[in-house]
Amino acid sequence: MATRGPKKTPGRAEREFLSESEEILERMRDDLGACLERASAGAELAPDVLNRLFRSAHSLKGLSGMFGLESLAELAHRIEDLLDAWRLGRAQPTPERLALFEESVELFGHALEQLAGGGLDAGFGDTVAALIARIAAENAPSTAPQSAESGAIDAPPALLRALTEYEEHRLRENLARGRSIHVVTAVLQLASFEDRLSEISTALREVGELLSTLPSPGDGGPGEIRFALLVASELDAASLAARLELSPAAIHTARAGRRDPGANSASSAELPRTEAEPAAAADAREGAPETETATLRSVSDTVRVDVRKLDELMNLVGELALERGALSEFARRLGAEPGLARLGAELDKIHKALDRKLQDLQASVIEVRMVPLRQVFDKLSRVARRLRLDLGKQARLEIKGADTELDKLIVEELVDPLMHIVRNAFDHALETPEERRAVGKPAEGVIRLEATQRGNDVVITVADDGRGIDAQRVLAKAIERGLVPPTAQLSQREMLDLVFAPGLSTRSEVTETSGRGVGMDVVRSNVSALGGIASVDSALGVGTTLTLTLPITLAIIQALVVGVGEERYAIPLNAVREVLIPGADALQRSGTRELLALRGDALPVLRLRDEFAVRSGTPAIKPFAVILGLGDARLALLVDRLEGQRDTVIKPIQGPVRSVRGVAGATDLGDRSAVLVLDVAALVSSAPRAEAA
Amino acid sequence: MSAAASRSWDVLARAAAARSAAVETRVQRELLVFSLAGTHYALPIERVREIVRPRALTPMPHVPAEILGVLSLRGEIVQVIDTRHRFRLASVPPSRGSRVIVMSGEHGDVTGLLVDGVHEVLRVDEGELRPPTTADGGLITALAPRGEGFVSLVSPEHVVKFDAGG
Amino acid sequence: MQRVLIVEDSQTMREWIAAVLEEVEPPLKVDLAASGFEALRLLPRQQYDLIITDINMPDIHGLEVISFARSDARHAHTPLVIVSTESSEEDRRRGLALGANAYLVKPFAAPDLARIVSDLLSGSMP
Repeated sequence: MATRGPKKTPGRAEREFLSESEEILERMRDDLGACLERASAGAELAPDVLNRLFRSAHSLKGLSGMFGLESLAELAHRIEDLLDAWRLGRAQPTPERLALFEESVELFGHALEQLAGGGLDAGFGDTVAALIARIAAENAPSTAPQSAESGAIDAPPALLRALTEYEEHRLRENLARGRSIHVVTAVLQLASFEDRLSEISTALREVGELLSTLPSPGDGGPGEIRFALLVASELDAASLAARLELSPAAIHTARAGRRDPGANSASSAELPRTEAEPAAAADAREGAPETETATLRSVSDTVRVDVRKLDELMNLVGELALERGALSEFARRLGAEPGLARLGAELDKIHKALDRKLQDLQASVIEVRMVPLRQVFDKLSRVARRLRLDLGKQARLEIKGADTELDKLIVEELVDPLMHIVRNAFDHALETPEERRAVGKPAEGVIRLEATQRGNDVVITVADDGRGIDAQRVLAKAIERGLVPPTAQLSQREMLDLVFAPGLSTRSEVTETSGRGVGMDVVRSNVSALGGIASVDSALGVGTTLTLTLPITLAIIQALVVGVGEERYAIPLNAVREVLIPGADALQRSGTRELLALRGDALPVLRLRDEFAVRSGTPAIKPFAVILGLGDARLALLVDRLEGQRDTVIKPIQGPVRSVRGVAGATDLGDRSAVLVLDVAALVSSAPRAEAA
Repeated sequence: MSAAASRSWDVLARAAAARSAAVETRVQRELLVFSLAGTHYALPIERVREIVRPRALTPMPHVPAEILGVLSLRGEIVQVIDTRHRFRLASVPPSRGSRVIVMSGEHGDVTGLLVDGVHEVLRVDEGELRPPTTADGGLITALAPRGEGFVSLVSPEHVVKFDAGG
Repeated sequence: MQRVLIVEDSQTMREWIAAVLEEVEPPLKVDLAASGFEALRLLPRQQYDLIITDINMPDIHGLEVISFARSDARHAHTPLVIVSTESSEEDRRRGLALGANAYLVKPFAAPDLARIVSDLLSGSMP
């Protein structure tokens, strides 16, 4: 039979490409952020950061090219050209050029998103072409102001021969600045050279610029390796040796600097030391924080794992948990057999030990999936920085709790909703400085982004001190749009909640900043797709707080399994408030709606059999009411029977139908049949509003 | 050295090879032959992940009738399409010979196709493929020789594609 | 079996090159180095019949790896291929001056790489 093994993983090459490109792009964004900060402080950009950016663009170009993504390769190529000109000193990174660079990086990010979603948008090539044209206009070739200084350097020829063009440029640049050039030699054990080498490199970067590292075989046999490090520094050989705790013999001065007391250069006397000192100190600082060695070392004991692999691992753990359940059942039956009670008890003991280990395993696997929110928060502060420039609003973003950890998949899905909320805050919520002064607020607005862990949830709040939401205006708008009947009597909270309703925007025009057609309704649906809740609180004139409550992990949830006809469904237990069998008079009709009277409240009722059009079996005469609650909203879900509580792994439903109302995913309870998992947030919000009539 | 090991790199290799003028032209295709109401069709084997017997499907609410439901493949939840519906044939309940062909999408997603029967793997040279005689909105991409006649090569994208109208 | 070392920091690229080499006849034994440092560890321990290296890598770059390989008698004459997205004509010249036998600019076609590897290994290319 032509059955293919399950090992065939189509799209692996694409996934590999996307994951590596995203990693590179993320590094570029960080480096870009560092550059923008230095540029806005009027400082010179650190050469090694520029070089790293160049290398990143270079890698993106190579990867895109191999994939036949011509437009992307071309874009990366142009970014690379920009950076190459900067790092080789042929052009200056002006604010305009930096902005173009930033735009290019963002565009590349969009491209990766589109590719992950199935392919590049039709108009993408044009967008790239337009940007490339602008870069070309901005980055017109200029004559290279090559530093005339090169001259003879007393360094091993092999070392000089292996310099790249960039390294040679840096060498000239340092010579022009009058720094000394030294060759540091270190003979290390081949088996363990990395630690010591990175120690030396880090130390060298603190006192100057490391230009090149040339390895050669050691004299002491194959177990040794010799490194020649070419370094430019203000220090002379003796001070350098002292700083590095190396023998002075290990350092050879290839060219003495102008400020070196022992320099043979005639120009040394012309430079007054007092003026040179601060510049030297600034240069040393410039090199210091950008040590690459630290990241290098951390890479070596870190493994990059595809989240999908972790999903597989999680599934296996889930399946093990199911097998364990069978074992427990067997132990119970064994114990009930006459004469076998002792065996049963022993088996039960083994089962309990297994259970503990399994829980540890589960916890470890979940832990591996956890990443800090920092990644997302960093992105947001970059966006905030740009908005501040674009909108001319005085505002700062304060961040707290960036170390809070969440499932990697959730973190990824949070980027868009959070981005939208922050943009909204800048765009709509904060007043102009003049307006703020007029009402006695400080001109600078504050947006506080905070994450905290509460039990199995992570709560993220975005609070601004802006103008607040006018609840009455929201209500009027909702009535105008026909979203609520004109007679509706809503509480303040319910009125505010209408901002999440589809098709409602309190500002009619779409703005550049928070436009893009994404509304708060999308924020809410994104968040509920992750099993979370979005809510809003606001006081007019004081500010608005948006709160997102999210589960820490999507991986394993506790579920209540219910039955309707021949079908079974799983309900995430965190949404189940209570279960009861309603008395005959508790269920009441009110017009077209059915209500459940519960301790003085009237809850909307949804019969799952009707909602999902289940035809098998006959409706139970005394159905169970599962009371679902998310935030303040509650719903009574009527089902035929309860089948118990289970740990389950929610899986996405693969196939042509992308999403189904009321279904969050599916799970296999261990009997090789699929059970749908209910999307409680969707069910609760689709139920008719239980307003006081 | 097995070709299978590098098959997942086909995409890359193809992209790279497309730039080379001197590419090998003789390409062999492997096709899985299946049947619907007595007619034979074929699917490119590289898109077939596995073939399973139909078992009880879990129905899904709010979906067109051609989505028969979902099944669990070792914990992976996969929608199953009534392939007869795609070819405008009347639906029939699964019989003894019925199989679900599990197809891999281009982006790693998986869909099941319920067919009346699965037959053999057919090897043809790319050059032996003929253009389809009728325009089926792209459902049939080519005709492949099989014995005395031909089988229709079905586009995996189109057979799986879902249009909201059903 | 002839033995080849691939030095390339991009995982995607590394595995792709390995996949291309898998198709080369007769079969080759392929070692992978994900960084210049890894290459330094492997080169003194193993006799390679061919070395393929990238230029732009974060720890030490390809020219330094080549220089290292060439300074050891064991690899003084081993065929050496640079695969790089290098835009700098200058660096290409330097690579060849250090003793690289071929310089492939990414993106290159799989058959091109396969042919160059076969030619270098069979000695039919200088």
